[in-house]
This record gives sequence, C-alpha cells and structure tokens, in this order.
Amino acid sequence: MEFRTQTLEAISPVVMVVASPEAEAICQSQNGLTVTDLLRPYGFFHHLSVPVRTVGEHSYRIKELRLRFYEASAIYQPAPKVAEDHLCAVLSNAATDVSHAPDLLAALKKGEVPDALPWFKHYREEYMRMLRFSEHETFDHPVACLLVLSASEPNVVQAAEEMFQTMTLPPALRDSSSQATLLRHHVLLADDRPQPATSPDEKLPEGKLAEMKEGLGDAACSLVRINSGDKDKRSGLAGLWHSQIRSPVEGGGAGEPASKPAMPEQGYGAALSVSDVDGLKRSLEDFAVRALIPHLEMRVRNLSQQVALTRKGFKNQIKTLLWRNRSATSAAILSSATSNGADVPATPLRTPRATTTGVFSGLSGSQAQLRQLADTAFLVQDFQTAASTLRTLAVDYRSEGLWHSYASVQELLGLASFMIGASMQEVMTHFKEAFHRFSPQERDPSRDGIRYATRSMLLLAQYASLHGQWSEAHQGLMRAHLQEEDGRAAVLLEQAALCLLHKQPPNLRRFSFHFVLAGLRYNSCNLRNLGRHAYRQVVWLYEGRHWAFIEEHLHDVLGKQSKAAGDLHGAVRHFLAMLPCPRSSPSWQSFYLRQFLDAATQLAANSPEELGPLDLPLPAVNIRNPQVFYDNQTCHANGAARAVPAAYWRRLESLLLPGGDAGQNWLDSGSKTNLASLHNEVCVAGEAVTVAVQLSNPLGIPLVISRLSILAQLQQPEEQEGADGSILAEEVEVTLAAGEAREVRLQLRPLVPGTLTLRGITWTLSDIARGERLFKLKAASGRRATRDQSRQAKLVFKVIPSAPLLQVELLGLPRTVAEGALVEGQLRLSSRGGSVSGIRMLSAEPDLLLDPSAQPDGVHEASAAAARDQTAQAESTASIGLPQANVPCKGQAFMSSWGPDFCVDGQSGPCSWPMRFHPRQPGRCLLHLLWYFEPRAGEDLRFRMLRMVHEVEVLPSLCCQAQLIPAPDDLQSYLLRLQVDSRQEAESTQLEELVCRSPGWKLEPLASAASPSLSDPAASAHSPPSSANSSTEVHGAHSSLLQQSPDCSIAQLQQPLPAKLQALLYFRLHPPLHPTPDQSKPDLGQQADAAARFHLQGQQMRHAKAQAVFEKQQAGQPKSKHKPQQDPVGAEQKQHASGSTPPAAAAAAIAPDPSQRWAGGAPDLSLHWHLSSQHLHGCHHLYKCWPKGEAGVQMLLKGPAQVQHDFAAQPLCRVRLQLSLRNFLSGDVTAEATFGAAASDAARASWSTPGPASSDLPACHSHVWSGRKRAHIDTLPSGAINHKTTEVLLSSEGMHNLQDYQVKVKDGLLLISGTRGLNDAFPDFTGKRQQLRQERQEFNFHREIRLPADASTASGHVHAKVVEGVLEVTVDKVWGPQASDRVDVQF
Amino acid sequence: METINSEIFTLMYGSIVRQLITDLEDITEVNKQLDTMGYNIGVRLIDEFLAKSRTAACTDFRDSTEKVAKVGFRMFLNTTANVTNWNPEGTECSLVLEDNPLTDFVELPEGCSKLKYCNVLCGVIRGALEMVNVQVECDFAKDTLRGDELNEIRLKLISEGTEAYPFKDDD
Amino acid sequence: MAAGSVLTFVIVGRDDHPIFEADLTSKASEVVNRDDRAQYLHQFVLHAALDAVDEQIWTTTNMHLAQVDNFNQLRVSAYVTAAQMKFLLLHDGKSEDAIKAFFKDVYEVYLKVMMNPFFTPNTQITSPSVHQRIRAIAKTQLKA
Repeated sequence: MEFRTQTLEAISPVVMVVASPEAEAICQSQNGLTVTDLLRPYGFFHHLSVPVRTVGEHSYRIKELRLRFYEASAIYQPAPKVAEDHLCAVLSNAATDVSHAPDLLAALKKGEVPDALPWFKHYREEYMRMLRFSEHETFDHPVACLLVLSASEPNVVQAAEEMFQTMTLPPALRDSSSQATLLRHHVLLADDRPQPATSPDEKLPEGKLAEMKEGLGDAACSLVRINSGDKDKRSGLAGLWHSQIRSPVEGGGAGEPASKPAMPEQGYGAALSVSDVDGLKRSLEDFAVRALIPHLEMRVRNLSQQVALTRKGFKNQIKTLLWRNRSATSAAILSSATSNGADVPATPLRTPRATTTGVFSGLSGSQAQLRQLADTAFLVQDFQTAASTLRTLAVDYRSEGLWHSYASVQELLGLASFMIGASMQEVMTHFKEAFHRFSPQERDPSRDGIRYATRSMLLLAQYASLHGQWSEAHQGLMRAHLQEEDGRAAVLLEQAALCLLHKQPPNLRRFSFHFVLAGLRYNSCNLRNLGRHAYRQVVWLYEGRHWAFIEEHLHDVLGKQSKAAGDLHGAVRHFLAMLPCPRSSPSWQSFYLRQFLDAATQLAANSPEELGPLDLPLPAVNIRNPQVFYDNQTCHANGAARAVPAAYWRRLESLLLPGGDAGQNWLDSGSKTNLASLHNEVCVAGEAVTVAVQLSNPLGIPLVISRLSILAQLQQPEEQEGADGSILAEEVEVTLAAGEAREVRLQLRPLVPGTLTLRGITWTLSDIARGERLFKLKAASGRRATRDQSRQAKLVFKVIPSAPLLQVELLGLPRTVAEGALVEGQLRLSSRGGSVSGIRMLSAEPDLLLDPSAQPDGVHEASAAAARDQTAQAESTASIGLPQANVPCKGQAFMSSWGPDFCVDGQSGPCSWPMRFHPRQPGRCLLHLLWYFEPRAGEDLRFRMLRMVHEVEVLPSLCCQAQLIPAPDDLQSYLLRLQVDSRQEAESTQLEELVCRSPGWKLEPLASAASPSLSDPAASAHSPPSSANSSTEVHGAHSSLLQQSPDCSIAQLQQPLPAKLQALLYFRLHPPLHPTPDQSKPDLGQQADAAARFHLQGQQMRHAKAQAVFEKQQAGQPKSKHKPQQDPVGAEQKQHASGSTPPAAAAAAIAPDPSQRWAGGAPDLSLHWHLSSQHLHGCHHLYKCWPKGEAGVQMLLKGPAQVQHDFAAQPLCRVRLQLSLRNFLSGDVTAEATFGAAASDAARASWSTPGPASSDLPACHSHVWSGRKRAHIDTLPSGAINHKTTEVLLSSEGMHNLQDYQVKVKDGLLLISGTRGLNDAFPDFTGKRQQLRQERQEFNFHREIRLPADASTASGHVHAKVVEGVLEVTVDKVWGPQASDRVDVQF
Repeated sequence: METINSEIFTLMYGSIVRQLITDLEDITEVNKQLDTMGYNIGVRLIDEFLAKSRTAACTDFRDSTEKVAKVGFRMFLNTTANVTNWNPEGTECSLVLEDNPLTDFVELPEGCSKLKYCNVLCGVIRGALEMVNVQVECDFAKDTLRGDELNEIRLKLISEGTEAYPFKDDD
Repeated sequence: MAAGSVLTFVIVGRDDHPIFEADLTSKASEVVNRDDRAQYLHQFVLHAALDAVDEQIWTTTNMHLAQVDNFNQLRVSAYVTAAQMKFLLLHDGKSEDAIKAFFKDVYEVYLKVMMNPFFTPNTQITSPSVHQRIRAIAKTQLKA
C-alpha cells in the first residue's frame, strides 16, 4: 500500500553523517557525491526480519527499514522566509515551461485523469522537506551519528574522538544530554584507487579498522571501500542518485548543505564498482541491524519506563499538576532540578549504555518524554505503542491548551492510527483536527501554524485520494487553500480540482471554477505561465455556453496574457472572441474593439502574412440564403423590375415568346414551354451579379466597414488562370450605426466565361482586421419551392461569354403627371456590347404608346426607312393581330415589334422613338415593359428578354360626366350635356375644345353653363372619376393630329375652369344621316392612327378591367380588395380573371345598348384641356354616352312659333303644321295619326294645363283641325323619317293648346301633349341662348314619350302632367312592370 | 356541444401560425394565408352555426353582426364580442373582444410586429357572412398583442344579398 | 458585501445554457456596471453550482432543492423543474421559505413563457415583460 510506504519513508530513523574533509575529498573528487549522498541510496533495507520487543511481552519483526542520512550541519529547519523563497523557486521552475503539462480535456476524453499535475508532486515533496526538523516533533531528530573518516588518517581513533567532540550539532541537539542519546558509529572510508606509490609504512585499511575496533568498540566500526571502479567506463549506477539528490536551500538547512558539488560529466558515482556498492550496502545493513535497531529498541524501553516513572505515584501527579499550573518556562528550572544525577556534558560518553541513564533529564517535562517515546516507537514501527502514547499525550495537550503541540500530535496520530489499520474516518478526523488546531485561531494571529495545517491537509488529501475518497481530499485541499498565500493556494486549488475530476461523475463545472480561481491566484503571484495553463484547461468547457461574463473574463485574461507573452495570435483570437458583447456598455465595447484592433495591427506589423482573414463576429452577417440577382436570358433594367414577381413577367414572356400562348393557364404554359428554353443558372460574362446580404451591428458603437465585397471564385475550364484577374468585385464602404441593421447590395462581374462560385463575403473592420464569412444555403422547404424561383439563392453559376444587351431609356417621362395628361416622351434604344435585332416590345399598359409614324432619329436613312415601314405594318399587324377572343389574357398587353433587319448597335449610337404617355386612372401607375431581342453575336443566347418597370404617380385632374339627350326640337340631333369637375388642387384648367372624331358626326356648341358653384361634394362623392359613365378615356391624338384626321368636328371652347369648380357644357350633336355599315365599325386597319388605336385599346382595357372587377366582386375573392394600382399581384390576378371573361361580355360592355341606335356605335368624343402653368396637355375621352331611356318611335309636330293674324280681316286663321315621325326601332312600324275629335276625350280631360306665367294671352281651346283628320303611314322603315302635313284653323286669338291629336303606332302608342301654347312651342335655340340659360324651368315643353318597343301592346292610357318643370308621364300598370319607367327630362 | 381543451387549441393555433411564419418568411403573406384559412373555415362553419344555434334569419347587417358577436363567438370561441362604433351609414362597425382565447400566453417576438395573429378570425367572419350573401371586409383594427388596449375587428359591409331582407318598393 | 447586495437569478437550460439571467437587486439596472468584477464571480459560482444541483436532484423528489452550494458568502439555491430546467438564485442569506415562494411564482411565469408558441424551448428568454414580472416577484417575495 503506497501511503504506508510513503509514511515509512517520511518517518524513519535519521542518521547524522559527519565526514572528515579527507573522506569527503575521497568521495567527491571521484564521484561528485558528498558522503551523505553516497550513503542515501543504501539506506533502504527490505526483506529483513529483525525481531523487536519494545514494551509489552510480545515481540514483532521489522521487515523493512529506511534510514535517512543527513549532514550534521544541515539538520535544521530553514527560516520560513527562506523556505517560502525556495518553494516559489520550485514553482517558477515549473512555470518555465508548461508544455509537458497534460491536456486535461484529452485526458478526460481518454478517461485517464492524472492524479496530480506534474509540478504538484515535486512541490509537495519540497514542501514537506521544508517543514522537517521542527522543534515540536522529534522523529526528525537524529538517532545515530555516523562518523566517516578517511582510511589514510594516521591516528584513526583520536581523529574520531576529535571529530565527535568538535562536530557542530544540529540545533535540536544543542543540549549535551540529548547529544548523549546519539548512537555513535564509525565508518572508515578507504580509497581503493590503484595508488601510484604506496609507502610501505602505511598500514592497510584493514589494520586501521582493527585498531579502530579495539579503540572504539567492535560493533561501532566498519570499513567501506570505494573508488575501485574505473572512472572512465561508467557503471550503470548513476540513476540511483538522481532521485535522491535534492537541490539545496540557500543558506543550507532542511537536510541539505548550503552547496553541493556539481554533477560530474560522467554522472554520479562514476568511480564506484559493484563490489564497492555491495560492501557499502553490507556495512550499512550491518549497522542498521546490529547497532541501530537495538539502540532504538532500548530507547523505547527506557523512555516508557521513564514515562511510567514520572507519571506514576502521587508525587508525580502533583508534579504534573504543578507543571500544568506553571508556565512552560518553569520547565527548564525544574528540569535542572531533576537532572542533578547527570554527568558533566564535557566528559565524553563512553558507551551508549551509559548514555541511556541520563536521557530523560535533558528533555523538559513528561509531555516531551511522551512525545519522544511516541516518535521513537514510530521509528521502530511499534505503531501500537506510538498510537496509545500519542492519545494520552493528546489528552494532556488538549487539557493544557497547547494547541500546536496538540495538533502535531494529532497529525502523527493520524499516521499512526492509519498504520495500525484504524478506520478511514478515524484517520481523517485526526488529520482534520490537526488542521483545525494548527490553523491560526483568532486569539493568536500568528500565521506560523498555517504551514503545518496545510501539511496535515496535504497528508489527508493524499491519504483520501489514495483510498478513493476524492471528495474528502477535495474538501481538505479547499479548506487548506483558503488561508494560504497565492502560489500555494493555486497549487492546492488545482489539486482539489483534479480530485473533482476523479469523482463519479466528474464535477466538470466545479473543476473548471477551481481552475479559474487557481489561475487568478497564479496571476496575482506572477506565475503567468501557470495561470495561462490553468485558464486554457477550462476554456473549452465554458465556450459557447452563453455565460457571457465568464467567457468575456476568460478571453480577457487570456488575451492580455498571450499578448504579454508575445503570443499575438492567441491575443488576437481571444480579443476577437470578446468582441460581440451586446450587454456591456458602449465604453467597454469600444475598449474591447480597440484592444483587439491594437493586437491585430501589431500582428500585422510583425508578420503580415500570418494575419489571415478572421472569422470576425462584427458586423453580424446573415449568411443564410443571401439573395442573388443576376441577368441571364432575362435581364432587368432596374430594381423595380426585379420587385415585380417573376410570375407576372413569365406571363408576359409567354405572350411574347413563340408558342407561349399554349393553354389557358399561364403558369403551366410558362413553365412548360418557355422557361424550359431559358436556362436559369447561367449568368453572362461582363454583367453584374448582385448579392444582397443583411448586415447588422450588435454593438452600441458605430462600426466602420470598408472593402466589403463578395468572395467569389471563377474556374475556367480550359486554362487554370488565377481567379483574381477574371472577377471584378466592387468594394463598398459601410458605416453601421449603433444597433443598425441594413441590407447591402454587392456587385461583382465575372469577366471571362467559366464556373462562378459565390463563396461568401469579406470585409475590413476599421481598415485593420480582415474578416470573411461564407454563405450557407438553407434547404428550400416544399412550400417555398413553389415560390418565386429567382429569389432562391443560387451560388454556383455557369458564366457564358458576354452577349450584347439592349438598353432602353424612357426620356421625358416625369415622375408625376395629371390624370388624362398627354406626355410627349422619347424611347431611346441603344445596345451594349454588340448589336441586337429582332426587337419586340410588349407593354402591359396601353397608357404608353409608341408612335410609329414619327421618324426614328439617330438611325441612318436606309435602315430607318426599312424600320419605319416594317414598324408600321408590324405594329398594325401586331396590335390588331392580338385576337381578343382566343387569348383573352392578351387583352391587357399590346406588342410592337421592329423588323428583323432593324438592328441597334453600339457604334451608331442610340436611336430614339417618340412616344406618348397618357394615364387613365389616378394613382400609382406601373409601366411594365418587356423587351425581346436577339443578339447578333454570341450563340449561347438565341434571344434575351429585358424587363423594365417605370413608375409614375398620376394625380387626379378632371372628372367629366356626359349625358346625351335627344333634342326636343328635331328628330336627328341630340343634346350633349357635359359636366366637368376640376379636381386640380390649385391651378385652373384651360378647357380647349371638344372633339368628335366619329365619322359623320357633327358637333356644334349650344350653350355653356359654367355654374361657379364651389364644387359640390355630393357630385364628386357619387360620381368618382373612375365611375362607369364618366371614366376618362384616352385618345392619344393632339391638336396637330386632329387636323390630319379626315372627318372630325371640333367645338372650340376656350374656357378656363378654376380649381375645384364645376362647369356645365351643352352641345348639339348630329348623328350621321346615313350610317353605312362599313364605316360604322372604326376600322383601324385602314387608318393607322395612334389615337384610334389608343382609343380601342383603352376601351378593351377598360371593359376587361371593369369586367374583372365585377366578376371578382361576384366571386368575392380576397384579392378583389386590392386596387390594381397598389398591388402588382392583385393586378396580375385581375388580368388573369379578365382573360377568362367571355368575349361576349366584353362586347356587351363596349355597347351596352343591344339595340344599336347608331350602327357606328357611340360617338367618339374627347375633351381637350391643358394646364396653364406647366405646359401639360391632356384629354379625357367620353366614350360611353348614350341617350337615356330606350329607343322607339319619335314624333314631332312642327309649326310656326308665332302667327300674326288679323281676325277682322278673316275670321279663321290657318296654320300649317308638319308632323314628322322617326322610327328608331330595328323593325318597320306602321303609324296612324288622328287629329281632332278622333282623339280620346278621356285623355284630354285628364290633362290639367296650368297657364304660363310669362304670357299675357288668355288660353283658349277653340281650334278646329282642317284638312286630313287622319294620316296613315303603312310602313315606316327602321331609321327612316316620315313627314305628314296638316292644318289647324284658329278662330280667336290667344294661346292655343293643341292637345287633341293622337298617333297610333302599330307596336307602340304615342301620346303627345303640349303644355304650352303653340306659339312659342318651337324656340329657335340658336337665337335664344340667353333665354336658355336663364329660364331653365320654362323649358319643359318636351313632348316625347317613348314606350319600349317590345312591351308596347296596343291600347291604354298615358297621363302626363307637369310638376315643377318636369314632365312626368305615368302609364297604367296594365302594361306590366317594364312600362313603369319614369321619364324625367330636365335641363 | 363537445368541447376541446382550450390550451391544446391555443397551442395548436400558435404552432400553425409559427409554421406559417417559418415557411412563408413574410408577415404579410402569413396574414393573407391566415385570412384564407379562416375564410375556408367560415365557409364550412356557417352551416354548423345555423344548425346548432337555431337563430332566425338576420334582418339586416346590424342584426347579423350582433349574431356573429354574441352567438357565434360564444359558440365557437367561448367568448363574446361587443358591436360598437357604427359609422353613420350603418355599413361599418367594430367587434370588440373582451378576451381572446387564441392569444393566451402569446407574446409577439419583435420580428413580427406586423403580424395579425388572429387574422384567421377575420377570415372566418368574412367567409361565414359571405355564405349568407353578406359581403364584408374584415380586418384587425386593434390587437392587444400589438400593444393596443383591446382586440377590435373592423367590419365593413361591401354588398348585401337581396334575399337578406324583403323586397321594398320605394316611392 | 452587505446583505441583499447580491441577488442573481438564472434559468439554466439544456447543456448548461443560461436562457435567462437577471440581477434582481433593487439597484441593478438592465445595463450592468462592468466595473465590479462581482458579475464574473457570480456567474462562475452559479455555473459551478450546477454540479451540486446535479448531485442533489436525485436525492429528493420535490422540485425545490434548498441551498445547494456556497462559495464564501455566496449561497446558491436551486429549483429544478420536471423538464430539468434549473432555476438558480445566487444570494447571501435569504430565508429559504422566501426563496421557495419566489421559485414557485417564477415557475408560474416560466410556464407562461413556455406556452407562448413563439418561444422555442432552450433559447434565450428575451421578452422584457418576463423580466419585469420576475423583478416584481423578487420585490414581493424577497424584499429585494
């Protein structure tokens, strides 16, 4: 058992060696060993069997024995200061290199944890050694004295005597009496070197021995021969001494002389032969067995007798009582009193036997005797006696309160009870007690006991750990370290921590904490290396566990130390780890940053090549799924184009690409046919690849980031050229404010074809530290796979050779325009890197028009001419060739394409085309343009697509409501009532002209009632500008264009409309007389007129949109909430839905009146205006004004307004009237007019006719119809007009009311009633504008009641009466619900 | 009717929302998705509602909102809402939930301040009302999760089915 | 250090990751004053105490293990939930009953947090409201 051997080693008889200088010389000169060192290896005797009987009758046998040899001069305890310095030196030696220290993490993984750190064992031994020879424990006192003389001594005996008398005694033996207890032994050291010349008179060593024996006694002498070996061929013995040689303490002490011979180059003991060693061994064993053991045995016996003597009997009891009462100082006096029988110290002691008599007198008091007894018994391995003695002694000391002595007794008692196999618990309690008593109590603050206390704890820890009691050992060491000073405390802490590792399960966290504490202690006593070692051992355990402060602390300390130790790499690494500390205050953050940067700069200065890119935590980079934007076959002109979802573009592309229009669903058609042809993961050399990365600054201080760029790598298939030259990566400077997060877009351009791999990003922090991060790709989940593909990050591209790229600019297109405004712009085409041809443009918004008739400037004539006519016919075919019915989703887009031989190349500069922009709806208008072009050069890309989006904000300008009323005075013309609300904020709009551009129509201004009433909110409320009947419609024409267009009638009205006001305009509108079917539908094929085309597109667009909205609301999809302007997705949905509308519905939307009143459709009216301030022209198109109510048969009775007649001259006045009928029905009708009595009286009676206020003439009913009372029109063809003349005879003056006539139509009944006199029944409008404007309420002479053609079954009554200027006609219900319509005509 | 442990319910809903966020990665998308889910629920739920709660046919919008607030929420969410601040036209109103079991334990992370956590409710109301020909727009005006003091769902009548109330002749 | 000057509460999740830390002393503000090195020591002590907690978990059946460890004046009391989440309170001599009550209330708060669908277990609890609530509990229970 190891602890046992250690104990036996620690507590074993001490032999004091006194060597004559000659002897020393003999030994040292050859072997580099002092005599003591020479002896030491042979002080261990095993397989002995020496019977010993001390006290009691049973004898036991000593199986093995150790002797400790010390030089006499060195047997004392060095001063504490010296000892401490020595120990510190030991530690600092250990600290010189800690490379051999085990890596505990690895050890732990392997499961073999070292019992102690390498420097711990040595330190422990040295510590123990420094505490030897203490005055309160006697087992370190020498029990024998070995006098070593040289055999060449002339007079051996005398020399020995002198030596014995003159030798310097160790302080413990200063008093002569204890010196007398020494066992003397003499060794004759013979030098066996072959003497060159041996003088004959000199005796052989044997002779000397003989005379010595008879002089000093037989047993006390022995002869040792050395140096017989050959010095040059070394003996294999050197190793014996290495473990024994102890480094001396300066000033000597602790068993070692102040200085020692240096180790010779041959190694220790070179000159010793095996025979020498054997002789030495034999003689020492001889000495031990024959002299030493009996001597000790005898001492034990004597001591025990003595003790029994002193402690027995009443007198002694009193004595001991007195001793106890007296102070310890009185012990000396008492001892002198008791030692009267002792010999004089000066007289030499003859024999050991004699010496034993006076032994006890020298030692003070019975406790000292007891202690001596116990120690000696321990030395002879009589542990029973030792233990029992110590117990009694402990009781004594305890009762006297001599705590130090008590503690040391307890310590030894622990060992003893271990030796006699007591329970672990008992052993450890002894140690603990010792510790407790050694440690300084509060009443004596002397730190002297601490060292011993620590020693006892070391013993305890060793004992416990050797017996697997790790936690006990740990506790002991922890208790010990608390009161120790730094260096030792650190060592103890480390040892305690190791104990924790040995526990099951290992207490890693406490272990690491202890190590950190140890590191702190080391640092505070400047043992940096050890401190670093301690920290390094435990960093792994804390790292990445989010204990912010802990990691910060560790890295802080480690970084500083590494920097101090010159390990800049380590410093940078640790300072780097400290950087992200969001929780600490900005001042600290900046401090950390600074110290990191300093270290980095130093490292860069020392060894620039070593400072590679670091894994900088600042700024925080989101490396998951960076967004990559790049152009392959489809290019993007601007960022807005990328923002539009690719599905929308794909739909447009499907329109533009051949075979794109397969299938109703754009998704599958797009994915199947087209996108298969576009390969996505290629990018074009020379064109930019943009990566959007998210940077964020976790700290509270701004970060300066420079040279931020993409880390990419381009492999060229053919020659492995370095990637640096072939990539052009732009570098960005960013400064992130505190806590700021931002998206940075980085560009790079591959210059040569190959395979491009985006690896990550790299940047420089504050122009010093270079950092980089590599991208990580997240696996796309199933749901996201269906989403926009272009947003998915792809990091590997195939770079294909550079291909020419079309560049398009929209010039002169302002950011904000007014609704209905007409903006002249220019479309500039140019190309980069080669020429492109086969250009086609697809515009999703018909608001933007390319004007083909204009001359493309910048193109040389030939190609220009070619281009023009190509364009002309191509566009016409293109825009007409969109079959609305088949592929409805094309209803929204229109295409214009250039001829195949029209090419734009980079050399001849850009060529630009005039274009017009005419927004229809207020709000945010996104112009989506998709360009298709075919590069002339580069076979990799057959064609390319360019997507561009232009955003314009449209402000509301005017709101027009048009109303068409059949004119009251003739059957052809109509009244157009136009209500214009200005929605301009500030400035006034100048209304220029109203243009009717439908062929055959005539427009004449009638009246304009500009009511300067502030725009009534009601009107604006219930008629928003986008409502159906007032929706502004485009025709792209301008005044200049109007002159060209063949037949259009213009009503000039130069009239300013102030802001927020309302104007009422009246016009008379003459429909074409003979509508011809060929002219009816405006054929755009013949007239390649931009305006007309605009108009057509506008209509289709509008109806499709309206239809879409309508349907959406029916279906109640959630998307229907979104306005097309706001949400591209919503818009896209709409267009999709509009695509699915049946064409019939669209047609119906175009012409809501199934019975086409005019074959040519509605008149094509447009109101032109311009804003005075900004030279902005605009026009609103009124495309959907129909007369109210239904078409039918209209009639009119005409005659002179006023008749002057002289009744005196002739009693009867004959007035000629003309009745004209017009048939608006689709079929023919037959009509019959009856005048006079034939008309029903009931009808007439029911009419109450209020007299007019204005006229002075009395009303009278006396009139007689003359001529034909009945006119019959058998067939009145559809659209035809028939005139019948009749006469009426008037007999008296006055206002005549012609009411009694009736017209019967075959399918339809018409009743005409006049509410005014005949005389002013037919005002001449042209002459009476004034009147029209003022007396509006008097204009209720309208006399037309139209019944719907279908429901007009013959008979029935119609009552008409006038309520405040409104002619109301209610018809009896017998005609069914349809007839219950209510015609109110109001001017 | 049979009941389900409210915590299970709440956690289920929460995990659904969370999954949506992780999948769609866009809060507005998530709101839309929630609304659509709710719509599909409401479309089914209305029949259950009409069958279980034998309520008379609603006479007008006010009536139906009251029914939704008082009966519907009580039935399916075991809470009730108050119908408040009507606009003068009587086409808009707010449902104010005094407590919302969906949002128990819920605390929005700072990333999702725009998230309308309970948007599914809007969808349900919309879908259910649509089945009885009442087209409404429905949106969360106030949300306790976003720091408002109460949960307010804003209802806006778009169009009302004609058979919702008897034919009147106006003269 | 004077009594009541140390009061640090930590919730430790799997792999010893602290998912919640709060200095509950009344003076403490959110941004800690880094000049006092006590912060380091506290974390070290708390972290080291986990070993003691692991040892004592199996000695008792109830969640509240009383004081499990101490270092000089610093005492560590622990409370281990069923899911092995460890609540550690570093204090200097509060009464065990108060601490027990404190843990009990904090456990309620913790349950609420766990029920939040947006909270992933074993991640940092960053919600300020939780901080406030726990602080309030500390005020009432521990008179901090």
